[in-house]
Amino acid sequence: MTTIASAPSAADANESRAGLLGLIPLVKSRWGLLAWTVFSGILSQGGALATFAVGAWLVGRAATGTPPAELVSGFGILGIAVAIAVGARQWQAYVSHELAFSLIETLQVGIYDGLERSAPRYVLGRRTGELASVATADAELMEHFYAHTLADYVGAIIVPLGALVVLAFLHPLAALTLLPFMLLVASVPYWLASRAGAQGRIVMEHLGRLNADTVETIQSLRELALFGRENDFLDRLRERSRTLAAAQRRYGVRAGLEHAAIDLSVAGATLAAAIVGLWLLHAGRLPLASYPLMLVLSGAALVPIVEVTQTARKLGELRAGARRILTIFTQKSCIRDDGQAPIPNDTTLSFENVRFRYDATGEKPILDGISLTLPPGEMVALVGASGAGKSTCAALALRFWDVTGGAVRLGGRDIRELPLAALRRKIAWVPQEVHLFNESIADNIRLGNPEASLAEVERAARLAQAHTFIAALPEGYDTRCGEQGARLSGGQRQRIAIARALLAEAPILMLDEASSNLDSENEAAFQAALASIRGKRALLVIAHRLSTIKHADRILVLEHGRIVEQGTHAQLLVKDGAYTALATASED
Amino acid sequence: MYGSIVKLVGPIAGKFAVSVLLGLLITACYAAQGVFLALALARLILGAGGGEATPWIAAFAVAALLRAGLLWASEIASTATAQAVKTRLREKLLSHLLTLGPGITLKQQTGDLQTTLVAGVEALETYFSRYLPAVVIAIFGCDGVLAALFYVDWRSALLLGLFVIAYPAADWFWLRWRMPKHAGMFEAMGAFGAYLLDSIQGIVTLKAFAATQARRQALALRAQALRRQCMATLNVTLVRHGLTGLLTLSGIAVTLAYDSWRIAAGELAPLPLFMTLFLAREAFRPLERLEKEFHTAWSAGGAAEPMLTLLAERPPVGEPDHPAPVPWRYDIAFEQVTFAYETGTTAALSQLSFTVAENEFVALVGPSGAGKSTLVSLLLRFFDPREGTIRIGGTDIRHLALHRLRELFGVVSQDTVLFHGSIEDNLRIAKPDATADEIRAAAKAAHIHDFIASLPDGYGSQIGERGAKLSGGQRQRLSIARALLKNAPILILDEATSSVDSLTERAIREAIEAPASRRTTLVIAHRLSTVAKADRILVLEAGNVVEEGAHEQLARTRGVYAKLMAAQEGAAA
Repeated sequence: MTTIASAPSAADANESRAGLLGLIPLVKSRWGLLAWTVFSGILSQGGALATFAVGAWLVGRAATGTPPAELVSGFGILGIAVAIAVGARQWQAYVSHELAFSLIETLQVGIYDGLERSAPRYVLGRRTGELASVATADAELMEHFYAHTLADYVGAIIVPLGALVVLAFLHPLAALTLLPFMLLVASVPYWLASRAGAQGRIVMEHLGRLNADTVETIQSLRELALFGRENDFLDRLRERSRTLAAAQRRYGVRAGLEHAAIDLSVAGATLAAAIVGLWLLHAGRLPLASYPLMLVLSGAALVPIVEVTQTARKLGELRAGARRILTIFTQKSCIRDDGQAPIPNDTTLSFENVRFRYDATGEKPILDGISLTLPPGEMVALVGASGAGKSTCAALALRFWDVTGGAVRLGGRDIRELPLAALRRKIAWVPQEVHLFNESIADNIRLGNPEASLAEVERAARLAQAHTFIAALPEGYDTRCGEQGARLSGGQRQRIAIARALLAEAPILMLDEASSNLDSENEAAFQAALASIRGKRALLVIAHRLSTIKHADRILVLEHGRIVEQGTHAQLLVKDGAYTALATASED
Repeated sequence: MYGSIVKLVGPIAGKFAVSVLLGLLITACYAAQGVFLALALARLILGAGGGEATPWIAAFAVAALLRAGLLWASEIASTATAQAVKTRLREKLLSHLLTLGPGITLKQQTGDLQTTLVAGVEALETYFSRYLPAVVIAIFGCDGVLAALFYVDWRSALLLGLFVIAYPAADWFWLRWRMPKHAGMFEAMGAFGAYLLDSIQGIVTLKAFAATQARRQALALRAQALRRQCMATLNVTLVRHGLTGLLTLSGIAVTLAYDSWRIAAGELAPLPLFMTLFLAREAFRPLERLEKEFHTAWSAGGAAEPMLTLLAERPPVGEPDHPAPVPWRYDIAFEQVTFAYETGTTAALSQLSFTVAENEFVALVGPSGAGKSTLVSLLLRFFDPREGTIRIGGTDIRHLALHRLRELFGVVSQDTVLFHGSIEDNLRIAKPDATADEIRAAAKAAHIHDFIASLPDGYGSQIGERGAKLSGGQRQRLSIARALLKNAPILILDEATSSVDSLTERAIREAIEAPASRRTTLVIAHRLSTVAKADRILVLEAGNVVEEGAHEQLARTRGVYAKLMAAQEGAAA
């Protein structure tokens, strides 16, 4: 398997340590929305608390002999509290969603930008494709955090403080009584945090293992039947399920304890308020009319804190997500696109003593002095064992990376002096692992030439021997590729990619042949496509099959980043070297 | 729909009842706590000293302690329900899946099966452990609280009750009217996510074609369109959010104001007033909990259907009632075999007849879709023929116990599935009691031993992400070693060496064809070099044998075989 996506990134090393708040500058452009979201959230929580408080105050006054007429103003205040709470709740719902959707624009598109700069380099030890799903999930977590959770956190600080102030007005002792309970409720998750974290990890680990085994069972139904191992696997899954159940029980016991402890603390606050209030009443320092207010406020002030303690456990996850996103946002480009030179008319591609290594220090070079020339219309085959550096040559010509020594030239011009987009328009590429976008086949072929007419698309497809099977599909060129679309074989995908490369109308075509064999129909079609292209474009083929190699004008045999043999098929056979061993094996 | 969900998990009534009972007791404790506070306050208002209020405050403390204990128990109970549900669902689905066998993957994509068995089970779990108890608790809990209030003052209870009933009614109404729009929003978000993912996964291709900027613009436009579309629907859908908040707060406020007015006018005693103060909140609490759990019901509805569909599938092949003895010779005969994957579709095999003698080496060739792989699936009894009979050693394979039949075959196929685990585990799966020497011998014959020995952990190396990354050829060679280790009397090679380089292929072929290991061998291959060595070649086309003979013979006849070979040889010439 040769892929051009490899090598670790140095950028991962200086991974940000800033965590959640490190993302704040990224959402700077949405500053106003963020502020309104938090503000309306506080107002909504505060309004709800105020409704209960005003209600209790009203009840206290009414019960202690206030005449009905004097209550009317109280009713008014109660109405206002309800209106504020409900209005703010509605407003928050609206503005927080608006924030969430603008963050989609900022974060998701930002991830695209970051990965666009870094691809095909590894980021966080993963290939771009693998990272994509993690990163987009992270972005969703962040949206949720900023749009919904952040306001709750700020509210959990501000609203209880407001309640403390009101209580202090009733009597300083009332506020002092509540304070320790606030700290208690807020800190319960922290006492159990390490246990919760460890248990959570164990549960996730067991769950992951069970799910992986389930997936494996589904994928290997055929093997299980063939080897008669169905019951062994079922037993293993049962065992996994039991282990998971035990871990989840332990988790449940701890979570239940936490839940109970928080609930008891909240009740404790009301109880303490009741006892202290009684004493204050007895001492004549608190009017009886205020007693219900003190009771209600002491209980309800803790509610916003309780709400966020439920989510506090996820903070670690959020922090990790924020770090990953920041790493992606700060990815530096592998190369600099500042070339201004005009594209030369001559499109001879040449490598001059090219050296390349991913990492400046230590590592063995991937290419160690490669020189080759690809004049227009010629076909050159690169052959050699995997890891010899064949695919790297293609990556350097496309400037996914820059050489670390020597130069790649187009028409004699160092490609670093050319504008990147213009350079890539001169070189079309058929990768080994073809990516078809989840769009129509026609649009997939149009990738490098979006304005092409359907007739042009068809012409390219015919040249690539892809027209016949595309036309045979029920929806023809409108068939969607990708998961929900047509199930295309590897050979068919490859030919669509060839059509795509042909339509780009680049004078140079680089083709990374699939290493696995195609069935005879696909093989024949592929060879026919190659034959029809030969001579029309300069072809650089990273070849695995003798049937392809044989027809090259020149064959370069790579070994450990060096060209060890070159010549035509016939010439190389005479040499009786590395190439001969390979070729004779395939001959019989 | 929901009835069949309940049937899916079978008897969990006991665990469920415990969850519900605990939930109701918790609600009762909340209510009792409020009642005790109200009683204490009422005593104080009526002029009693602090001493008379103290017992009620003590009772409050007892209720709070009791509730904490109940909450703990309730969490444990719902975990237990969750476990019971998941264990039972998994057991049921997985054992059914294994009885269905590999044939099911033709009807359902493995990705869908994974979703059903992994995410679906999780979704249903919360339905049973959280949502259903919440429904019952909401129904009885709210009623209980209102009943307590009714006992002291029916007017407050009735007024509050109006708001409590309006809450789920508003929800229900909203659901009928607005949920489709809301669901449309989730779909649009999902579509955007998929587009982004697709773009990132294809980013290297985009770069190569200088198309990253165009794609970025499309992405930004889609994000904007998504925002506009979603905000437009949100205006409407968020009304529900405001409405439930309005009902809760105004319900409490209106009832309190009404009661305050009445007590000031001398129409109400203090106890009902204080009970309203403390109980009004509790009347809404079970509803709020239900609302929180609501989305789980929504996802459960979607998760249950594919499960029911899967469980409704019948296995394509059955075990014989009285299995015949295992044959002692290993020739194969297809007699007039006809097969179609689904009724009404064109037959994949029609009236196919051929024989393979014991120890004969037969190659199957033909264009894709000719029925080569179908033939193998029938031989292994992943399916049964519609018509005709397949015999091994003269015995109809339908009369053999399934696992006895499959023991007769060593199969190496084009896509090699390796299991998570060490290389040795993967080989041993073919013969659990194999000795280390046997494993080594098989690996050597498949030309993979040297590679394995070169790994730091040798045969103990883990396969997969963190372990040895194997190339397609290496995987195939492992699979060949596995088949050799099984040492079954019939060997089937389905494109077995397609990813192996030619030198290795030849060596492997020599190992397989060694006289000592000579056995009945059926090969599906495209490479001329593989096919040419066969004793006999069967050329399949449209589900039938159209040519038959040795390589030289067929090459001379200028028929289908000659054409196939020519296409492979000379296309680029």
